[in-house]
Amino acid sequence: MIVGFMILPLFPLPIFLLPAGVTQLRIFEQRYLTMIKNANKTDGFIIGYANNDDEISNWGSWVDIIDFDTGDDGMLNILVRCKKLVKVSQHKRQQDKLITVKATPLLHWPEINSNKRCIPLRTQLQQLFKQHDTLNKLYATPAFYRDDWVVARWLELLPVSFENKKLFVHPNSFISAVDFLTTVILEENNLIT
Amino acid sequence: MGQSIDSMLQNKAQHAKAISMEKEIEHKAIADWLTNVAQKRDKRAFTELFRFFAPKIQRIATSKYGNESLAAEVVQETMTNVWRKAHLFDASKGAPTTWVYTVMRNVSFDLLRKIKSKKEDNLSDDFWPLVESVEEDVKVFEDHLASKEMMACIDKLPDPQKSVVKGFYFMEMSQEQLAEHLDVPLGTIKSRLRLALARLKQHMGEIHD
Repeated sequence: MIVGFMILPLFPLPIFLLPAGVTQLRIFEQRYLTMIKNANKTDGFIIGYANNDDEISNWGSWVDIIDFDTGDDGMLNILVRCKKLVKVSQHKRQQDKLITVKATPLLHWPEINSNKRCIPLRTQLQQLFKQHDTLNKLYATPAFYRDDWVVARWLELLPVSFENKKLFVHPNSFISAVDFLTTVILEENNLIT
Repeated sequence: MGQSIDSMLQNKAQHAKAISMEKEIEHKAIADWLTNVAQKRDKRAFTELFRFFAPKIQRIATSKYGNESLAAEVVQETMTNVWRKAHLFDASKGAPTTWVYTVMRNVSFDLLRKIKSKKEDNLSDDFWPLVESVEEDVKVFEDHLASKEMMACIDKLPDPQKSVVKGFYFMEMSQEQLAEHLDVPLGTIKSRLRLALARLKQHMGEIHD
């Protein structure tokens, strides 16, 4: 599939955010404040993993800012939602050390609606939302009816290392993800003998 | 010469007297506003109080902390407390200005204490040991996740509670939290995670190879 690429700023952070995933970020360095200011012009930015040696991961989450406020301490808090995963290549470090990357949208899972194995996962996620206000604040309109949405949110939440979560960036990984979640969340019978 | 100094002193004294009279009138007005706020929840009186004190508090706080947004917060908090606590003001015990500035002082102490405890927590190394052991340079990132301050408070909780609440940092649950949510023992969660990862890697290996 041929898609054009974009030049976007990179916000270096090792968080796992799939499409429609929301998280809150706290912005205080000047270069990132400037980046946020320009986010409308640049059509969002990329959250991706980078270290100080300029090594950058080859994929990232392309996000839009959906809300912001100022915290008690006067710092800027923003809420971002991932619109697509992107392939990240070629990067430049500007004078203010802001990294810009060449980003090409990646396909992720298609919309999936009636996978029977996802029903218990959905129920569990709904319960989790009920118990944790933090989650409700992030998601004004949770899409529990979409299996891909439910599975993606579970993956973001699970206590599994970033390295391992990376495997679910692959567009064909949906079934593996369901297997994975089923093992972690539901598979009591196989373990308790 | 002597006389002129005398008359100067006299002028000064008169001037001082005038100022102190002004002060008295001023104090009377402020005390009345406070009483009206306390007894009638009088918004106009509160507006007058705000007009009188806000710029002064802002100025004092800015000069003390060198930070305008912090100063603005002091103003906000002080005036909120004045509105709430106006009934505690007792004119017989001192000037109304003294009372308001005492409220301001308490607000400042509270704020500074809050900031100080945040700072101390920011320095704590064992904050997210799990992530640090994976990536050395992860410290650079930590502060960008807004839930940090909340987590700083949570860190003060006793251990069992801490582990349950601590999740959602990095938007991720802890194993304890997951165990709690699914109502299974922690050991079960750990073995399930291991099993799930082993299966996943095997499966992914098949796809990629």
